[in-house]
Amino acid sequence: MRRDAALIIAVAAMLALSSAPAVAKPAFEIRAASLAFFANVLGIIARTDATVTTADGLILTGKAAFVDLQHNRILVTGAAEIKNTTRSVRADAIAYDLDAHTVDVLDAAVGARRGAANLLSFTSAPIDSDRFDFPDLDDRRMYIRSRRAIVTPHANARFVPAIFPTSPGALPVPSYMYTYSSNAGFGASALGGATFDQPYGIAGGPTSLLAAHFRYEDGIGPTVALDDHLVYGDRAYIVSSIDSPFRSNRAAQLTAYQSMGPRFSQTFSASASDGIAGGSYDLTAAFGKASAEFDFSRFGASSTLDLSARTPDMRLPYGASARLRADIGFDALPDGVITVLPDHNNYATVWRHGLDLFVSTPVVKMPFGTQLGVTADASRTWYDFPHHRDALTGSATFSKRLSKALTAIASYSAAFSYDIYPGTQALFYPPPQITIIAPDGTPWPGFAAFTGASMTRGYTLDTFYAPSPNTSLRATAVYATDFPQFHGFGRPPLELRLDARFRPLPNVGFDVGRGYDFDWAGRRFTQWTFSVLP
Amino acid sequence: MRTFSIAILVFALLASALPGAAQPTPPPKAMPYPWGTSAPNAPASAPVPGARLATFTGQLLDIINGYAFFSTGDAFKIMPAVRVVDYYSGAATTVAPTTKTYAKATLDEATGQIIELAITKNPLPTSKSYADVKQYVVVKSTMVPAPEFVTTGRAPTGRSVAVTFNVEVPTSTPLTDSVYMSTDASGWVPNAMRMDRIDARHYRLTHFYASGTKFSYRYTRGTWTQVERGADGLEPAAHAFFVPEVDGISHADTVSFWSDQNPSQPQVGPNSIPTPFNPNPFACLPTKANPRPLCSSPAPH
Repeated sequence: MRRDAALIIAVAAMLALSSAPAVAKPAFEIRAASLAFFANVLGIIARTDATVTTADGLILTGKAAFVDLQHNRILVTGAAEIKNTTRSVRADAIAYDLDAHTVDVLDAAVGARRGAANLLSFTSAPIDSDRFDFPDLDDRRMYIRSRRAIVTPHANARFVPAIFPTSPGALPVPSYMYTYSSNAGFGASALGGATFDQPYGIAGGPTSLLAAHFRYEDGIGPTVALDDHLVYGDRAYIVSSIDSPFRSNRAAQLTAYQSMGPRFSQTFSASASDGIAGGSYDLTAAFGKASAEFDFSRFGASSTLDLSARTPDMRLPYGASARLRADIGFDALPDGVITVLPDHNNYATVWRHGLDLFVSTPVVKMPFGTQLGVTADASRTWYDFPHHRDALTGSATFSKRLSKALTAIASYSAAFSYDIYPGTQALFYPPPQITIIAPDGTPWPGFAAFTGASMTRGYTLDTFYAPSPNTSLRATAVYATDFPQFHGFGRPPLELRLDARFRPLPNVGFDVGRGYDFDWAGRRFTQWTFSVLP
Repeated sequence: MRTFSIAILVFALLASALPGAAQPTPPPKAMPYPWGTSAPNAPASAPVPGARLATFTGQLLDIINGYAFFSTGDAFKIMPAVRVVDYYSGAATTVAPTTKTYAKATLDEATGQIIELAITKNPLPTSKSYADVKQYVVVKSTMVPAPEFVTTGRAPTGRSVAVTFNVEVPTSTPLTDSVYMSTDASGWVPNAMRMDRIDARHYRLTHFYASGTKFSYRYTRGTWTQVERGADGLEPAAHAFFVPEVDGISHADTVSFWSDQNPSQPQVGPNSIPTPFNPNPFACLPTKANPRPLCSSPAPH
């Protein structure tokens, strides 16, 4: 519990620390009677008495203004003026490049001139049409309407207030921060999966972002989470998060990633939830298209080490490919890993090694316009206790394009695994002493047949109907016949699922889905999945 | 240099194909070259006695629209009644001056045009008199590049462009999983845009963007623990895409691995068998009931 608390405190400290760069000085602020933000071109159009105030002391005013966030330039037009504390220049249009610190002035009487941001001198210059380009954007694609925007260049823009005219479900909010940094480190997340997750930027700077997440998680319901990103160029980032901070089952996570040149990367992650804290370290090395990996993790008292290597994909006849993977490592627990044994204390560390062969065919054309792809995987893991584990999996996927908008995909997958303890199988897989009772009260005597070998078979029919780029329907039917599988234990034998994606407005789309389990352990409909699309 | 030459050729072809595109004035009538549809060795003009001549040798890329393009990237205008002769004998030849043939071009300094092409299939030494002909090289092209080539330097109009992304996923992609695109324009939400599956290994998504839009993206299977990895197993840089000024464009990517299909990650095995003794087999997370799960090892031992 102390570790749990310590990690949560560490994550909270990380969140607090990152607020420092989050309040870094913004480069400029725009005010106007009407601001329209177009996310698709990263542009802000200000109408009716626009005023732009920059951090270097310049004030630009005009009837209208266009801010190109992508290229970090400002254009004011109509009775435009730029001034600092000592000088002022008036013209028909004035463009200011914030990266180059150059000012372009366009006046019908004088022509085009260019000068520095200190406004001391201007010289005649050819008209640079790009600098004076005021795009005619379609208002239907407006994402946010506001009256004030504070911009941190190449990172984010905060709109105060923010109204989302094309998003029917979005309420006006007093403030909204839009992050447009292209750094993918902002995309990493330490949060677990959720049925629905809507981030809301609270504070941010060029290298940081603190965001709240409004989520719906299976088993928890509606909840909130906080996560924070610190990015260091494209090579490293630290992401920390607290999920459900106001619930008893709160969880804290931290992930740090660093790319160490073209061959190596390392990741450290830690988490704490339900009184259990732990962490893992991963080092990946690339050798051409082969790779090797070192991974050590420790949760509570248990620890695991893995050292693995993978070959590149090797070409086989007829376009097939194969790759081989080998690994060696151990599992450790102070009281013994093999708890079934009376002398389990002697097995505090159990080493193992394994081999895995994966083979796949290319997608080949078949009769009747179908296509086929096949995969197979075989692996065996040996333990230093008399024990080994075999796994065989295979899949075949047929696809056929029935029309321009309709595609059908049928697939079959099977997986067999066998946990083998030579001479002691009954010790590790003893027959149940009692009859297993399913959740619906049905007795399951057949479970006694399970002695370590399992088999799963799945038949899937997927149909995709996409009549237009903005509309898509997906219907999936899965028939699963597994062992063991009984009345709520294991996968439902039959499951239907429907997902729909549609875009009622150009700027916003929705993706909703739900499944039906045919009364599997009393469950018929699964939970809705829902997401808002940009 | 070859790339440059080919680029010139491509631009010339595009320019010739573009309606209304400004280009060098074509000859007033079909060129009476001694190859092609004209009669072999049709009347040709001999050099005017006393005319100042310059020569240039090189490998031909092509002859098109009255211009001879060499692999050095140089192009010269050809006089309509050019003579085509054998390089060695100086006599008329049936060898066509096509790609990969070698030629010595003789230019009339008064007009700057080629009046004679001496052809051979054998390599010729590089011309040592380039300075003499440099002034006749066609450099002041007024061609307008095709819009598809314009990605910078001209302000995009912001027109709506249908961009179709096609991605090939690894064969180990779970059959019932969805594939998504996550972009910086959507705040890097991992399940921002679901793609449609089109066959065993390919997913597709068409989305409309304003021309001039520049964005970065990554492929995921819905969460950031299931994000694409490069062929070397490392985290690749995010893809970048610029929407050009076109009606529609298609773009293809390949995902080599998924991050959760790491050899050291928990694998599907006996521990994942759904049994009454293992009612939550796939979560593999510490809980109060099972504070010490062994995700990478079989259970029960």
